[in-house]
Amino acid sequence: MMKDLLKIKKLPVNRYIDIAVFLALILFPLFVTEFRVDQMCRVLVYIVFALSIDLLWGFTGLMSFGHAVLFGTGGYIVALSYTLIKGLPWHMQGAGYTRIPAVLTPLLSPAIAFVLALAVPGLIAWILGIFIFSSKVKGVFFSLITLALAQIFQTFLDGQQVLLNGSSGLGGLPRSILGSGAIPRMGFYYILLGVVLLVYVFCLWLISSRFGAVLQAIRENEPRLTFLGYRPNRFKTAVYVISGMLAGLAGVLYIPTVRIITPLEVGVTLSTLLLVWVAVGGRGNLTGAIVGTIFVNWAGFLLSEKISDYWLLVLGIVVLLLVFFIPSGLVGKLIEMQYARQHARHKNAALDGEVLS
Amino acid sequence: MSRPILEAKGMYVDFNKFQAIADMNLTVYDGELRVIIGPNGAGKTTLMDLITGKTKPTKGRVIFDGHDITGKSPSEISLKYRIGRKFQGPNLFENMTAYQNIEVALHGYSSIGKTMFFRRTAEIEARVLEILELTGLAHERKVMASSLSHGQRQWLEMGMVIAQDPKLIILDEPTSGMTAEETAKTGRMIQAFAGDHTIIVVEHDMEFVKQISNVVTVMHQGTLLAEGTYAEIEKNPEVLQVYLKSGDGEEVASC
Repeated sequence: MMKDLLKIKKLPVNRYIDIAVFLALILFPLFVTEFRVDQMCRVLVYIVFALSIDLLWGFTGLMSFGHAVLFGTGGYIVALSYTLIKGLPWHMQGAGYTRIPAVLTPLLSPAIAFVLALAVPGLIAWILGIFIFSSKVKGVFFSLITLALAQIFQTFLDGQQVLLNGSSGLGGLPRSILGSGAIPRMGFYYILLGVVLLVYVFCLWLISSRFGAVLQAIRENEPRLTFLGYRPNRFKTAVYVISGMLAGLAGVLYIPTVRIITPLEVGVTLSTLLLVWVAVGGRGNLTGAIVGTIFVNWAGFLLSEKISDYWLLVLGIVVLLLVFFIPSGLVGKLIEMQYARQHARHKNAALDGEVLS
Repeated sequence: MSRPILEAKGMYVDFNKFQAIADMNLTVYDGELRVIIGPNGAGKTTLMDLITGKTKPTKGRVIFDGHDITGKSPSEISLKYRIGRKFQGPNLFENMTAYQNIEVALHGYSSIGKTMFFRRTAEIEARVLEILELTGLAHERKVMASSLSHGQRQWLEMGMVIAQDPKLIILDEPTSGMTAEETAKTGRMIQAFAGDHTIIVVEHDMEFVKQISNVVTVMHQGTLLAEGTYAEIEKNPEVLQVYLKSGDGEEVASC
């Protein structure tokens, strides 16, 4: 019995990986060049984004092909705010504006821009959720609708010449947060890491709650849940909003990290890559999203330096093989192995028990 | 007996002109353990679908505990009117542990706010473990539903229904695919629940019906064929004929 209790207290294998990864991330900047720190900053932003899709896809089973829409919305709102704070941008001057239109003046406050950058993606997700989920759109059709949205979004941004500088996007943005002055590289890295840690803890809390269990139950068997008194559509909309706001937050962080945003950077490609990261790492355990994002991005960075011509092809093949041979992802596979071992031990124990009694 | 808790009156269901249910009437009394039998395609599961809101009737009314629940949604029927159902199946959350399956089913926490700020108190934990104990799955609490044996899966779903704390429990073929020993254990389990709950059991296994039954309702071709105690039913010539004709009746004939 005592042994039994100890087993319950034992952490799943992926929580140890989480701890190791966060320790490594804390130490990382101490041993590498500034260039590598910058690269890792971008990866940290992507981790927040990957955690957001893991809630939606990994836990709830809703595979959105257009999550970059929410990321991009958050990013563009903050980018526009940074741009306007510097003064009337030339792409607006060119269109005949002599001063910032009244409707955009709230964006002159970094705090308001930040709130909007979370609220607007949340609102978009809420509206989409209400329409899509109440119309009983299921499975692959949800993916197709969101894919179409990603394309529409990218095209829309391309067309916003006056406001958002069209396909050239908004650039020359400062490495600052909430209207602060320029933040030094190292400080910025640790701020990002802090945010990642907060988002991770929030996601962990959410999925450990009964809410998280209901999300998984939706993924496993949505019709069954309705016979237990739940309204799955509400939960799906709720998690879409939460996930959308986190995606918006990732977009917000992207701006001071990369300091330029273009339609291409937040288009269909990013939406798809996001799914690749999480698929490689493993869905529905948070760790997979983190590990997959780090793995695929760094493989990309390093490969592109070594073989600049066809690195994308090599990376593509590696990803394809991984997803083909390890469909549950790197971390997912480890969790499965741990479960299989525990289960086998459990079964043996049960058999021994029968023999004894 | 006591007052009627469930009344289905003049039920009709058409599936593309096929009459699955035609003029079916069913009255179940508070605290009763009712068994519904009938050959394949008799409409037993469809009748349960009507009661639990999975299917809307073409005609007819379902009155439960004084409320008209005809055509209401499954979530409303399970949450507000408190009817719990075990599917023919079983129908579980596969990649979740036995514990999680029961916990998700636990009554009283189905709104978003309540699920988010749900605290796994000692009482709740004790209740989940009690249900797992009752269904013989305490040792399997950390096991994924998908790794359980068929019999254990059936019991787990029965446990989920108990966790819902319903006024009426519907068990659709709880013993299908079970060994004789498991079937007997299931019978004891159902009889243990029967004290505090009204139960409808849809069954095929005649030995099992004999073990648990009080009043038996026989359905045939979407309608009521006969109703009575097991002893009455097994002597009913119409019932015998239906069962013999459908080739499902070896058990009845041999009784």
